[in-house]
Amino acid sequence: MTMQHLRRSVGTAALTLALAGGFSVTATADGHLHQAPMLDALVESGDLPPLAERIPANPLVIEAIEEVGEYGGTWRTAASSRTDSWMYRTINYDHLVMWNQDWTGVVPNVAESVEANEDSTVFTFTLREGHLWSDGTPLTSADMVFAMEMLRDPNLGIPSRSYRNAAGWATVEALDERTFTVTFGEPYGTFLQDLSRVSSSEMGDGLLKLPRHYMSQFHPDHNPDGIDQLVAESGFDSWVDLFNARWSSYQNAGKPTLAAWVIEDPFGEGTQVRAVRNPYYFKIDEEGNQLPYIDDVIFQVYQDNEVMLLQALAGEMDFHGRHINTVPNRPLLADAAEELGMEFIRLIPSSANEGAIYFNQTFEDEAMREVLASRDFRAGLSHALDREAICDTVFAGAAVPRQIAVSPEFPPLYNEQLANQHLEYDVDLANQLMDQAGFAERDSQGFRLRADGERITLVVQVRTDKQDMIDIADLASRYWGQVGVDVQLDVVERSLSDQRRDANQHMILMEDHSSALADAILAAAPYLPVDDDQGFGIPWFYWYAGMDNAQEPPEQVQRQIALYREMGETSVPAEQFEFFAEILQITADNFFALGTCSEEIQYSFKLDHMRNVPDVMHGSFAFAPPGPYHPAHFWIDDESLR
Amino acid sequence: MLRYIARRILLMIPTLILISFVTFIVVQLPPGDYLNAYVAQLTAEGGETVDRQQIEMLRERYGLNDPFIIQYWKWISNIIFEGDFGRSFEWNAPVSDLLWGRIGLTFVVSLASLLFVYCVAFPIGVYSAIRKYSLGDYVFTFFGFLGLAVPNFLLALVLMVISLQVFGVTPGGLFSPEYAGAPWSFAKLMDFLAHLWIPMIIIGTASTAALIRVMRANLLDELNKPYVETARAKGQSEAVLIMRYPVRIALNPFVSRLGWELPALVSGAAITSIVLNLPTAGPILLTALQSQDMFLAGSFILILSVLTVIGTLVSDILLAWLDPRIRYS
Repeated sequence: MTMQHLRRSVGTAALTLALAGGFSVTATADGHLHQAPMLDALVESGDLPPLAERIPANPLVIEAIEEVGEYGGTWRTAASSRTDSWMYRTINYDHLVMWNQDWTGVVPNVAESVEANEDSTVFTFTLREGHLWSDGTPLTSADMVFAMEMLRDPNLGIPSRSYRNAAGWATVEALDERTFTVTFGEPYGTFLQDLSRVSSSEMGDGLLKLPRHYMSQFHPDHNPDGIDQLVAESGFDSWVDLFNARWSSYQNAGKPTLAAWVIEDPFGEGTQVRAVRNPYYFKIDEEGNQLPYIDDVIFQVYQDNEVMLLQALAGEMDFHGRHINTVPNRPLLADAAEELGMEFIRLIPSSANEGAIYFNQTFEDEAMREVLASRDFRAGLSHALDREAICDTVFAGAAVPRQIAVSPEFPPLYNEQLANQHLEYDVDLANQLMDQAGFAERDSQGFRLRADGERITLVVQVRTDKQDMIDIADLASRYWGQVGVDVQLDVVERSLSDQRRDANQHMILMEDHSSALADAILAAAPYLPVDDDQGFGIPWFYWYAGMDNAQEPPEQVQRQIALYREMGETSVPAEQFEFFAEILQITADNFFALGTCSEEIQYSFKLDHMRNVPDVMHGSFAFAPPGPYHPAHFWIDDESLR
Repeated sequence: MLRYIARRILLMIPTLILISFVTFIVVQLPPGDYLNAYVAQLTAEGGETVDRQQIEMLRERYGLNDPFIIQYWKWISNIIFEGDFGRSFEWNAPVSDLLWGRIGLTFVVSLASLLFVYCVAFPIGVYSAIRKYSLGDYVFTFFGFLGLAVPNFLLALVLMVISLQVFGVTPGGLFSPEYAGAPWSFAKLMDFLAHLWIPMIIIGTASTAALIRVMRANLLDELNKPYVETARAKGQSEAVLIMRYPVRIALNPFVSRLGWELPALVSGAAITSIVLNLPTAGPILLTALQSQDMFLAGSFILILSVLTVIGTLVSDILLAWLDPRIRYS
């Protein structure tokens, strides 16, 4: 494949965005900026500098989804744990860059602009002039250099997926107060996409979560004289424990942030987390009103989802999209919807499969491996499944039959063959394919035999924490029994399942995956062995990553890996898609794994008075909904609640 | 009496050592350790990949590779000599920061329930024994069995649904939102008391029912004894007679229950607390066990055990004081 490496397009987009922002500020009705009424008194008394000094010279202007809102009110929602991603996605999705709303690419956010070099190894970011942390301290490149030093510090072990690729951690260099570079040892074409995701720790964008003026006091290199006393006062054994306890925004009230709301009541004290308006937030609406509109956000913390549901049914949840927005709960919520004035929001699901069945191509036992390696045998098993019945039974109609594939809702990567091959329920065809594969012999009980005369017994490993997958596996084993294949289910606890998988001990593994929309290239494991989150070739992944216990993959897979590496050299989504489409075609030809059902219906819900929330959203975790729709510009259209 | 108390206190020491040891074993029993659970949690949703090297370093730092007995010794010696309960992995905080507030609230809730149980069970138990097979006895027995049979958490859910349907509010928590993060004050105390009665009743119901039955049965045994007849024949007034003699003897199981009523209340309170969203020990202990946050879980169990042992001691002393026969045997 010959493809020109084009200059990354985000830089241009940033430039236009910056211009639009400047234009908008001077073009507001009275040519002025406005702030929330609650801040007026603070400015008057001198406790807070005037608005113009608090926001960047070039604030980010948000175009409203519905209309310009009014200040005030509380957003009532819920969370289930300290590391609940719903909190990250709602009040902490302010990374350097972010997803655009139709999920076709990345746009600048905290950064004013960003530019990638030719081979996607060096990314140059520019911060906004006059951008301040929530305590009024300037945000500078020095913060970025410090944060990178902390992320790289092996003593700390801060969990962070961003700023790291196969070649290791990035280095960050400050060019001036506002400009800095992020440099990788190997090309990292999907860096900006990865940076736009939230992760399961709050370090989705680690450079912005470690403000130097605050965090440096907890590090002996930066506070050699005072650290011992701080450790002693804290009750921790070492500065490492202290440091790691202090970076968590949700446990430390008042830790400086760039987000729209600052945590005031942290997690752990009482049963709620409360965040209040950040008077230094860098976004404004089209009329020059500083965001956020909503005064504070309260997360009730629940351990029990049924009790959380009760809060929603009482009409005490303004907008929520996790834990309880499940298919079984939908009728219950729909029942209460009219009385409460509740609306449903359609989430576009990213579901490559809810029950992906992987056949281990590197299984140790040779006779069994031969069976697993037979494409006709696998195709036969696939035709033996009545997926319509399986999906209806397990998902109550909320999922549709599909192989492990990119969804038709994402045309750039949709592959018809990958999604629909060997999908129809046809027992005769299944038997014919398996006979043809050389497994026509059967024993006295009617079960098929392998070449050495032993009965074929498929052991399917499923996780205890995935009831849907257990149900699918259970139904599948009955269908396979009808075509003479003996199946045993091995339902194990998650960490044991992972351990066995990593040791390449599983025969057949079931997993579920999103990776069906723009996130397919970011979490590509279901399609090619570039991660251990798959079950067809763990030693192939070790080969790719240069780890121990590796096995050289077959030629077709090596070709996929080569394409994947080449894809890594471009930061232009359109080019990445071309590479990845070719990878997916090989995946379809190999057919190492078969899919069952793919989720079709997902929803979240809000009350009528919650405005500027779109009716349709991307639902994938990788997209971090509702983050890209700017929760800071959601508002409460009900005078009594403001 | 003093010798009796001293002997009981000495006996507590080996008991506690054994408890701490067993606690630590049980917490460590499931396969894997906290870091396995942690990696699983990180990868579960965000597709976060965790550096294996990093995990190994963490394991080294937390001493998770050490042999069991060394880990135990480090933990217990820090507690005994420095009062340091170690660090909660999950919460990223010293265990003592998490421990005391929750233990305190747990005991306030448990003791309030205990008080409720005694106040209700005692008079009803006495009444149903004296008026055996009367209409009142049947009514109380009926409700007693009902209370015994309905699981606490179900009662909590039902009460919550009723409160939602009838009053339009979700009960739950021990504080109103405005007081949740506030320091203690008179207003907060009042707010707390206003919230306390729901868990108090829910947690206490089953025990109340059980105690009514116990009190009734014990008293019935005593009421027909010859000394009661004799006293009655001699003209002793009925109320004084019953309260002074048979009730006092029937009271023994009431007191001896104190020791094991506490742990039962605490563990029974766990599920109820989760449902009612109370900031007590039960819910946090459950998550600590699930995520194998061993120092936190271990410390909770240890402290609760210590308090239980102390509760037993108190009940034994009370018994000895109430009933001389125990003192001398």
